[in-house]
Amino acid sequence: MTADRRDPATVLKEDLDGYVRFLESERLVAVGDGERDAALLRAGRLREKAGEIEKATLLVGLLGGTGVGKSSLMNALAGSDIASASHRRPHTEDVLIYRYEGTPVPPSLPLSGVPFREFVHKAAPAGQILLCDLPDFDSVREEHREKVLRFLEHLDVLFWVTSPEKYGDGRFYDFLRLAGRARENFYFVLNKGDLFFQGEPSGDGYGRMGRALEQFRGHLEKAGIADPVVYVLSAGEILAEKTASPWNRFSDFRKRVFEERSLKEVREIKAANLYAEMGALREVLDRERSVLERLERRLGGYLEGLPSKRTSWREEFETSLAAALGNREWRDMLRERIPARRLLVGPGYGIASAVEEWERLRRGGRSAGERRDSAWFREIGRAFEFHAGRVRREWKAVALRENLPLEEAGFPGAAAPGAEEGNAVGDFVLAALERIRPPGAFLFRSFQVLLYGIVLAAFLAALAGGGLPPLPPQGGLAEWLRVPGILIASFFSPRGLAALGSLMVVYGILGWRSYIRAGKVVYGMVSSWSGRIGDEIVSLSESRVDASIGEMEEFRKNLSRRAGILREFRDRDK
Amino acid sequence: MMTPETIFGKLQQKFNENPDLSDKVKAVYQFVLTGDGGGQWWVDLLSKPGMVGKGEKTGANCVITMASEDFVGLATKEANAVKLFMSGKLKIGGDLSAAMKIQNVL
Repeated sequence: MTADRRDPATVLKEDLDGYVRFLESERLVAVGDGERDAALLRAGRLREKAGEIEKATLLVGLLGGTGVGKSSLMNALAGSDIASASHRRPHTEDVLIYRYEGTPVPPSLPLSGVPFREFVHKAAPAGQILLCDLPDFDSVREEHREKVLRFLEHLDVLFWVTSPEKYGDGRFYDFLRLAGRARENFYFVLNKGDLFFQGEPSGDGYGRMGRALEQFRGHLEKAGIADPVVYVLSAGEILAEKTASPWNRFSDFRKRVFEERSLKEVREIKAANLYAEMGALREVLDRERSVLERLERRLGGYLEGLPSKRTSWREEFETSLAAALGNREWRDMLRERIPARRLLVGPGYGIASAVEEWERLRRGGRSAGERRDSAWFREIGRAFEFHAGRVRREWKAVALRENLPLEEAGFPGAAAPGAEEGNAVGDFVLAALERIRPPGAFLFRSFQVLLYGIVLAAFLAALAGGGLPPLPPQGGLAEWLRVPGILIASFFSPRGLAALGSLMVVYGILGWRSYIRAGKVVYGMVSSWSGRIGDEIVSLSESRVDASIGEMEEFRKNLSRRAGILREFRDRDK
Repeated sequence: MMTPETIFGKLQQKFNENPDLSDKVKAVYQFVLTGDGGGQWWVDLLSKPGMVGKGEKTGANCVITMASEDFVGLATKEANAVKLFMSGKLKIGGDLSAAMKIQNVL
């Protein structure tokens, strides 16, 4: 932010607008709804504050624990012009505010919940400053501490006061850490500096002061205050109207408190505080960015490793699909769609019909049919589902194992159980089956007709050899009427019956051979259709895998876009 | 038709029936509602059961200013507090975390 030379209020507002846009419009991965609402309210409040940054009034606070001489410091600092000895804190938890008569208390102060008492003075040079003497932080009740901390949000510059006896008190640093203000607006006062010069040996006052100062700075640095500004002073010396000792930096301290700051300086102080207040928002967005980046990185790595896996996945699928397509029910069902009888005529047709009927009866009178509960349907469905959904399933397992919030990040179907491909393949297979048409087999059928015709002719010739009357009859109607009788007599003559028996045997043999031949043709067609449907299933399954990968790529791009926005926020903040 | 008056009346009933609601909030709110049926109301959830009253109350740590129409929308869950706030239709003075809690009570 410091690199941006534009008006700090404008920069802050732009940053906040960006945060709000992101929080309002994007799906959040690492932030719950409640936290999002809280962040939005905080952003809205900060936007309001950024709008008030132009106000020249500065709220300067003095904070410290009990017994650090804060009251005497306040009296020495304010002097009779501003404060007087009669200004006593009526309750330990009150804030005392010293303000110039023309400078009102900001309207938001009463809402902090901390009771305060105002003292109006007429010292115009200090008119820019509202001096706030805060209650001793170690004397306030626990529930009041929060209110005091909230009051700190109104302060622009904070002077943290301690003393040689109390600078080691851990509570001081704990409180310091909680103050959500810019660290560059913190100043530190080591009051009662005269105590360093009261110990033994008396000549080692500077040594004691130097060691204490070094320790104090060390504690402050540990509390996150890099290069702190520390004033060692003695307010008591000033109040006693003694000449200030050379080490007593009260005068510098007083100047720092009351220095007249330009509007630009005031704006920078306030902007720095607002920027510090934005810390909580940045923390939320940083957390979001970090999760998005982790998710994006992991997904990217997973997608990169996919091509090498896909070949073996496909091979595995083809193997399991081949097993499913070798299922007897599947082949029966295909055979039902290409019945051998459709290729046959005469005795072959009869044999095929009889065999098919027998097979049907063997199945309990049920058609092999294309039932969704049949074994082939389940097996193909399982194999398809396993392959088509594998990439998504595996990625979801990776995310689960590594605790990546897929559902929150909006990964499509993240909440669905593993079998999201469902039985999609079933409909596809049923549609493919509809395309199967038995062949016309015209030549094959014609050949059979010819063969049967020749045999029949031979049969008739054999009968003729038995003395049939000349056909057609040469006589009148009476002669015609005799023909059926002669034919019946010839059929049932020993010769006729022998010929008929021979015909039956020859037809039986020819029918069976045709049936076997047709069976081979049907077997070839079943294999061919099964293979073709298998290829189509593989192709469909691969297209599903491609679609899943496409979705994952899209998801990764979306993650990358969101993380990019947040990285931009972070880089602006730098 | 719902008015702020009826809503605050129902709120008092709700507090009487569920005195423990105060434990979840522990704050005092001042509502400043503008427009038709507007006025000022306070909701004290420091006491148990919570109390509702008309007028101003000192010591509120959250002042919520909005149009009474929006307040009715908020109470009937037709409006969203955060959206109203972000669009400038709802102003919150004081403690934001307390403001978040009142949503649940309403």
